[in-house]
Amino acid sequence: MLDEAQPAAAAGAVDSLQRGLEALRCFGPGDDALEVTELAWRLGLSRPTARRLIDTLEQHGFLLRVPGTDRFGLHVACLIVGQAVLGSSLLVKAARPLLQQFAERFSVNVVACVQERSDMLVIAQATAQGAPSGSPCAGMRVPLAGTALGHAWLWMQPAQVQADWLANLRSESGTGVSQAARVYRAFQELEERGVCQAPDASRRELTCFGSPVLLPDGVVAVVGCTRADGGGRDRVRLERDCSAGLAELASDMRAEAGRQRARRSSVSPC
Amino acid sequence: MVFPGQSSEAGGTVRVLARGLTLIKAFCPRNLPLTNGELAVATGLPRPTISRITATLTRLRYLEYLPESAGYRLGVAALALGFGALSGLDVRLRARARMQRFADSEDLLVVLATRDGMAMVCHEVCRGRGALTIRVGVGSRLLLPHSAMGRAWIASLPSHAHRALMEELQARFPQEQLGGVMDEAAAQIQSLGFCVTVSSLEPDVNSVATPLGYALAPREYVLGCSVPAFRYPPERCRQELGPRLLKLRYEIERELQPTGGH
Repeated sequence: MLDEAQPAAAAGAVDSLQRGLEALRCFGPGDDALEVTELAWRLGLSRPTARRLIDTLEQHGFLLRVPGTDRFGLHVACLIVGQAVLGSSLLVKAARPLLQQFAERFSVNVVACVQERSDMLVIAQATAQGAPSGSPCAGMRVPLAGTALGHAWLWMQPAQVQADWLANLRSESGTGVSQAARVYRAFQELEERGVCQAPDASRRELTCFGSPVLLPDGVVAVVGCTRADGGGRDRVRLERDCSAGLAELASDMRAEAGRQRARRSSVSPC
Repeated sequence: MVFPGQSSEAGGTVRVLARGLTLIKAFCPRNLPLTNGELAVATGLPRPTISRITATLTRLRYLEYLPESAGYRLGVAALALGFGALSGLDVRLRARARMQRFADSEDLLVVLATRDGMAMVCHEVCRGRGALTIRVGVGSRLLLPHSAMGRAWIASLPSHAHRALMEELQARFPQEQLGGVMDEAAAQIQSLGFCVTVSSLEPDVNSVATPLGYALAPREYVLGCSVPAFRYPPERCRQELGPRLLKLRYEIERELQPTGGH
């Protein structure tokens, strides 16, 4: 048992809290259940240490053991916490109806995200009938690097933040330089139209668009949409329509978030 | 999840993590701002401990500090604690399409839920176009003894866990005579495979529920539906709706059978 009375132990306790919560982030879409060994490996911890964290998470309803095995899946407490966040977020409240209108108007998947570590975290999503399947749901993370969503967020950041990210990209072996070139191209698109685009990382036939939303409290959110690439003349038309619509959506969302904030001025829009 | 009266299989827990999780759950379900003092009252933890944990969780962005109220609430980063991955969980994805077809064809509300504390929490909710019954959504909590799904879940417990939970329920709901309704639900589950409740959640709303067999999480999920009492009086629930819900359950269970990939 950790002794919180001693300073060194207190630091260890903080680590244990962080590591335990980190275990919940190890699960990706499609990870129905993970072995303790796999979780320990993903956390970079010894198996016994990971085991104690997992047992604690299980006792609090965040993980569920697959009976008769050493495998664990996410459980109901994750759902309850996520719903509490979504249900109380003014930004989500502002975004949902606007996203739905946009999705139907352009027959696309559309998301609103905020930056979280090296990812863009989806906080709201809408899908139109006939839009490409597999759009990320609320709570899913999309990498910041190499995506239209990430580029749109980065464009709004102070020069030093941009420089740090670009330095990181350049230092990555292999693809770093071309990644940086893509970021510059995206910045140019954002300067010209307020929207940037990039091919979907996993499905090249899909094109993703991203546009930043500077919220009244200074937080930068991003709206983005995905649609099938029609090719040729169709593609040019889709790009033009989608870009204009997305820039408009970003502006509407900023205005709506401002109205929501004014109504509940004591609460942050996130 | 550990059933009441049953200890965790592996002994050791991590106290600071346990406290952090308790604190995070204190914001659920409404995520209203809470000060350190209010959190201390809500969780029963010492205030210095609360201060340390809120500081850590704020640094990690799982909590946000609201200077106007000197309080905290869950930040958007808390969404990354499994919620997204859970949205794509197999059981929900595979059950959803069949549940929606059932809701559309019967014009009712159908729910997949799991137990958390003294409530059944809705994981998936599908409603028919004209379905006017109770207002629930994903994440809604329905009290165990008052919902058909709660009673079905209790009826499916092994005897030692059933006894322990009944004692806990009697202590929590001392004004209610729960033994009779729980026995009736257990008898219905045993003979029919489903149980029916009459206006137990809201007046003029009847409900039917059946436990879902899922190899990865046995005795965790319950399937239920709610209907206006004027359209489905209790007898019609037993004779028509219950068997149809059972059919839906068997279809979902077949869909969820492991294919060797796990």
